[in-house]
Amino acid sequence: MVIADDRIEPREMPELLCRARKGDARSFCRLAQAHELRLFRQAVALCRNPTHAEDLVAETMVEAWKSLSSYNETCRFSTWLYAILLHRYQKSLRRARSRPVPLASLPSAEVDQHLQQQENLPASECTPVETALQNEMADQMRHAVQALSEKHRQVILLRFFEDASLSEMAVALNCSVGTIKSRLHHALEKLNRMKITMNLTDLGRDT
Amino acid sequence: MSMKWLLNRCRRNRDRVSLLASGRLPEPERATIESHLQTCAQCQRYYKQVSELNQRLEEWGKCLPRIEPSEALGARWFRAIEAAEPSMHPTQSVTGLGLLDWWRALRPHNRFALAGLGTVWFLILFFNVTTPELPETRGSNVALNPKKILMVLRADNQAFVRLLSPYESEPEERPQPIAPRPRSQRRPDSATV
Repeated sequence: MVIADDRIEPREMPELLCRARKGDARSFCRLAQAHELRLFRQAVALCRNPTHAEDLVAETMVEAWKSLSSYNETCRFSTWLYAILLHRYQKSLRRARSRPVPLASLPSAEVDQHLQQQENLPASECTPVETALQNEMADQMRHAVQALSEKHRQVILLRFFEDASLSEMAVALNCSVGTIKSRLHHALEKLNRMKITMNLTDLGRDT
Repeated sequence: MSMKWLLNRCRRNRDRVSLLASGRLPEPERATIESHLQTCAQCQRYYKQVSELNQRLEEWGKCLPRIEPSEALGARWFRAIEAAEPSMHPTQSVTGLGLLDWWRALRPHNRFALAGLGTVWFLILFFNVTTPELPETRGSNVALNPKKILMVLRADNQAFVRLLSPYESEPEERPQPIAPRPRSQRRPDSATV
């Protein structure tokens, strides 16, 4: 199956969703393809490994297809997909902890390749120093967020990567708005205690 | 929850301050917290810290790595979706679809509560069905005639009263108090005779 156009009109979406719900795989693929690139980049930002990110995206799409009936349109389709991606990522982390990691699959080579690809991209408005600084900040943020518990991490990633509202997060994570408020507050407080802000400010001053 | 925590208004407001800083505090609560922030230096400091952190996180969230997936990715999940069995798609299953969807849409704690309630009802039903019936009582064969019922009840009542007080019909003779004899009827003392 080849789907040429990956952009869909907003008015087209309900119709595609309706057809997908009736079991039309082609409509679902058209719908999901519009979110593939963003989902892939979010997955790379999470795991820093493009191969692993592709696996995650493929698993997410299949999972979304299987559980499409549970999507009740109370949150955006992209938020719902991202919540599934987070769930799959947590699952893969748990699986990886219980198994020994082969040396060839360590992410260092992949990250280098990814950074190289980034450097080759045209129309970058930042200077190399600014780019390096941004990468450093992103790394620090990523490490700090990885240190959070699973529940707190999910809320932070949905809030800042998906710009999801409290109710959308509640729907995506299948819990109440009050729980989301509490988790967001505790996650921010923990990050604040880690003093990331101070380190990043210092980093900026040094340059 | 300690008394200190209850009395410290700033600590109680802290969650709402961090939600305000992250732009996710609901509108009705916003005015209260903003007015509190104007008067409390401690909360102002905390708000500033969390705002700065939020700004960094926002920047981090926006700068996604500009990397393209391989061309094979799309084809890979298209194939996987096509290969997924139709029965795996919930809209195509036949029996109990509505109930299954309803069950899936429930939140986990509601599911647990309903499952618990269902188990209790099942156990009650199970024990009711399996418990042997009691032997027939004596009065079960009596026709539902009010006069007969009254007669039987009266007879039962009398028997019950008799059982409780068996000497009620033959009252016990009370011992007569011993009256002092008159001096004339007294026998003379042998010693004096």
